[in-house]
Formats: sequence, C-alpha cells, structure tokens
Amino acid sequence: MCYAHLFSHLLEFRTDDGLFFDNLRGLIMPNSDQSANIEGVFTKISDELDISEAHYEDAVAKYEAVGRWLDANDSPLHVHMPRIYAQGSFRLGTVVKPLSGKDEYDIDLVCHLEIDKKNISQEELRNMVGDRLKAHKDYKRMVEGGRRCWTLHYADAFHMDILPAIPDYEKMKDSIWITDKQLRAWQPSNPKGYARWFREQMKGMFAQHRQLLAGSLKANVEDVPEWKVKAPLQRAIQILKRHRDIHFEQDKDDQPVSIIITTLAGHAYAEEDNICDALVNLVDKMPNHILVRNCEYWVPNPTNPEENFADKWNEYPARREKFLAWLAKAGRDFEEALELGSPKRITEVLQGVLGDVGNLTDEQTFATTTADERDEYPEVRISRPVSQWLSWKK
Amino acid sequence: MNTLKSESVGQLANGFRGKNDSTGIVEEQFEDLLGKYSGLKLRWQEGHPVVKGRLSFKALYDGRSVKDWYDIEMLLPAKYPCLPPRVREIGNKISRDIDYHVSEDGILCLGADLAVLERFYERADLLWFVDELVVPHLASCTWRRNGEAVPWEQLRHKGEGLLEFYKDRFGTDDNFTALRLLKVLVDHNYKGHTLCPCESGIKLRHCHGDVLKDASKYPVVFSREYCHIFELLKDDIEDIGPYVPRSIRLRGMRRRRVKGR
Repeated sequence: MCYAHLFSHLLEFRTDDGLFFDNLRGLIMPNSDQSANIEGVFTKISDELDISEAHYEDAVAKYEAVGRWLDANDSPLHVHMPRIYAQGSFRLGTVVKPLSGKDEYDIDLVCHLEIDKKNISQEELRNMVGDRLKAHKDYKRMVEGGRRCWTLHYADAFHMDILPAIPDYEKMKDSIWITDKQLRAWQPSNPKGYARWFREQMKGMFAQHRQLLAGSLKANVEDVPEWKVKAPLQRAIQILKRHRDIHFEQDKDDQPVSIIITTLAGHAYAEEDNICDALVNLVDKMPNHILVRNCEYWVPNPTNPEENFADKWNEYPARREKFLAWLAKAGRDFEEALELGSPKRITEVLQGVLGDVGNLTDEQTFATTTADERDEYPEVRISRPVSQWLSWKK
Repeated sequence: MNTLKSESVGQLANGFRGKNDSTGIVEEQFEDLLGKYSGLKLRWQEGHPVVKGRLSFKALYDGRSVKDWYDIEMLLPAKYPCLPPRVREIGNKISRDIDYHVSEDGILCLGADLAVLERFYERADLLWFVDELVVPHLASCTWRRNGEAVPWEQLRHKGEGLLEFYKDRFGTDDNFTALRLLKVLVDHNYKGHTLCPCESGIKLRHCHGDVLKDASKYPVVFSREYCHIFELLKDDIEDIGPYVPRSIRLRGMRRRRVKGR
C-alpha cells in the first residue's frame, strides 16, 4: 500500500478505465485485495462445479415423478409406501460437474419400502422395484440394472441411481438395508443420518450463510431452501473433488472415493468461515482422521462405526499412499495459488490443477465476491447512532 | 451532543474552503478507509471522486451485533471535505421503502443535515464518516430486513422527524417555538440583543443564543428542512407572516418552494 502514492498521478488522467488501475493496485498491494480475489476465484470455481439451480430443480421434479409412479394406486409397491429421497453428494450439496462434457451428473436416490427384512430377499426387493420401473412406458427404455441399483438414463445431463432399500429397525434412526448382487448379506446404510452428521460438522457456518443468502434474497431464513445454501466446507469439498478428478484422470482405479474425502473433510473442518482457510486446513488435517484399528486403516462411517469406508485400502495399500500423496499435492497447489499476486495468475494456476472451470477472469468475479465470501467484516462499534429519517425531498 | 468547540468547526471549514483542490485529501483519506474496508475502490467520475464497492461490516451496539455487506457508492461533493459525501446503495439490497430511510434512487438518509454535519465535522474524514454514519445506518437496514427491532431510537419521516429533532435540540416542547428559532438560522439573522423567539422575555444571547450560534457554524441549508416543518405546521398557523423566511418573502410568496441541495 505504501507505494500507492507513486501511482497516484495515474488517477488524474485516467477516469474511466478502472480495471487497469485495479489490476495495477493488485500488483502493488498484495495483501488487501488479493486474498479477497482468491476467495472470489474459489467461490466462482465451486459455482461452476456445482449443478445449476435449473438442473437441480429439474432433477428433483424428475425423481419425484418416479416416486409418484412407484406409489401410484395401481402399483404393486403402493402397499409398501415407497418413498424416494436423495442421498450422497446431491443431498450433501457437494455435487461436482463431471470432468468431460460427455459425462452426466450422477444423482443417487434411495427407494425406501416399508418391508421387514424377514419377509423379503434381496433379489425380490430388487425385482419389485425394477419391474415397476419397467412397467412405465418411458422408464422401461431408460432403465438399466446395476450391481446395487437401478439406473435411469435421462437424455439431459444426468442419470439417476435408484437404490432399493428397506428399513433397519434395530439400528439408529433412518438406518436402512440395501441390496448388493455380489454379496449374500444385506448391506447397512444410513444416508439421512450421514447427511445430518455432515450438516452438524458445519452447523454454525451453514446457518450463517443461510442467513446471508436470506438477506440478499430479501427472504425469511426459513424460506431459503437448504440446498441453495453453500457453506465454505461444501465449496471446499467440491474443489477437492475436482482436484482429485484431474489428479487421478489416468488412474481411475486408485482414485479415492468421494465418501472418504467428504468424511475426512467433515472431521477436519474447524468452522473456517472462508474457502481458502478451509482448504488449507483440510488438506493439512484430513490425514489425521484416518484411524488404525487392529493393524487396519479405518475411515469409519460416522453413522455406523462398524462400516469402514476405506476397507479397500487394506486390500490395496497403494491406494492409501496415493490418497496421501494427492492430498499433499493439492495442498501445494492451493498454497502456490494463494501466494500469487494477480488474479490472472491465480486463475492460470488453478485452471492448471482444476481443469476448465469456466471463465474466471471477468471483472465481475472480483467485484461481487470480494469481502463477502472471504468473510472479512471489519468491526464497527456504534456508540452514538444518529437518528434517521427521510428528509431529502418532499 | 456535540463536543467540538464551535471555533474549531469554523476553522476546519475555512481551512478546507481555502483549498481549491481536494484531491490530495481525498486520496489520503481513502487510503485509511481502504485499510479497514478492503472492498472499496476510488474512482473519478467527471472529475469528482467516487468511492464505490462492497462495504462489509460487523456492527456492535449495546450487546447486539450484526454482520452484513452492501454495495455502495459514495459521491464526494466538489466542496469535500466541507460537506460530507452522499451515499447511495447500488446493490438493491435495501427496499426503497420509506421505513428504510433510502430514497428511490438509493441515497441513504443518514439523519438530519445538522446532525450529520456535526458528526462528520468532528473529524471530517472518510473513515470516520463510514464508521460513524454509514455503517450504523446500514446496520439498522439489516436489522429491519431481518424483521428485528432497530436498537436505537428512530425518528419519524420528513417534517415530523425534523420537528422532533429541532425541538430536542432547542430544548422546547412547543412546535412553533422550534420553528421560530429555526427561522433565525434560515434567515442568518442572529442578533444577540433582540428578545428570544421562544418568548421567554429574555435577550436571545442569554437564552437560545448559544445553541443557535453553534448550529450556524455548519454549512447546512436550513431553509430546506425549515420548509418541511413549515409544511407540516402551516395549517395551524393563524398569521403565517412572521413564519415566512426572509429569503422567500423577498422573492414573493408565490415562489415558496426552496430548491433542495
């Protein structure tokens, strides 16, 4: 900032080309705007990676239609009260746009039927749901059976994985049993419980960002749908997942699964109020939450401590090493970007490690997302407020 | 209310008035401002300085706090820092509703001209202006938007609010007394030896002299605010003759409207 006066003469003959001076100031004042800029860049990136509101609403409308079909009065499933709800990144708000344009958003759904485990086999459950889907004139062309779920391929930019499930009355609330063709036993799961745990990890920030969004939409906080709120943890996870997609592009087999990243990030997150700090902290602290039990590596499911998300790591030890190496690389990449001066260079570096994430160089990025997302709120102590009223015109 | 001595206000105003070019002052003050509010930028539009950008703040008052941001534009007048900036909310985040004290074109009404000037003149500085006047106003907007009560007293609008303010300032409960005292300021007609317009029977210099002399130090166009109050009270005035400001009387009764600043 101290060099600013050297350039002050520029102010006198340049009145319109504000961008030029802003960039210049960016170069000479590395600490004021830059950190705000990089936060803006990160925010923009996560917006680009996210599913658009239109797509989101479209997807919800479509799976609700599936739900209505399954629960129609003439449906054999009707007596079992079928319910469809989202799980996974779609539920958590950590969706990441697929790397290549060809790929589709993957929307994970649970199709929940009220049937006691004693009264049905895995195969019967699978077939019940599959048969009903195939009875629909459109769905029968779109449906495809997988190992654990039925997939509906939509012509638009997504496909839906529908996972048949029944309740698990013995475990905690919302626990379910899911089917798996390759395994004899039912598999336990609890997507709703996991989502609650995840939300709990960022409770404060989530509420705060919801409030902020409510403010900017001039709406009541309760009226702002939760899926519209993006807290720093969610955005940081989106960026990490994209970094992983790029890093493991040629090594898909050893790519760490999203649930491990999300779980470790949830544990490591310390309510940072901006994406930069959150990312730096996450890459540093995530490895600390990998547990060792009986000489095995464990990333337990927070809603089911008996389930190890990282069981494959014990089968293929290289995967854990690659995971740690990737995390370290991500840390170096983000720190390199943070140390850079100009928004242009930051963008260049990040596009190198995150791939094509849209146009990040327009001035708007820097103008609209400076202090807001960075959460730079200087404190003002009001001691003598001047009473106000309207007096400027009749 | 205002602790600054009237002499120093005059010196301040005169000191700045002497300078034709306020560029240096603006730049210097803007640097301080930027040190705290990093989302703001200084631009020059048609030779006038304009501070524009995102103002983020966490305001604390009486145990309550509020955190928010607004996109604002501060227009610095040619006479800056003799006159404070005008502030406009450009993000359309604040409703143009009368209760938010924001005009249709987004200009924030920070308070009575006199109150704003008094506060501003304590430092005549941009950072001071934002901390003392802009942020409290925006904080009150946020509270209101969130449906919470503004924790300090809010005056009513236009004439009513102004009347309350001047009655409080002149220490009187009577509407017409306040109007007559204000007229002294409008007319620039302070004569210490005349009887005080408050009808106390005491000479002005021993009665409301000090408060009037203090107020007259500030470059406020009192006639504008006087008109608002006059408009409010005129139906109850039997003989409006003595209430018509000299400047208007001279121009004739038909051109009663006084152009705002």
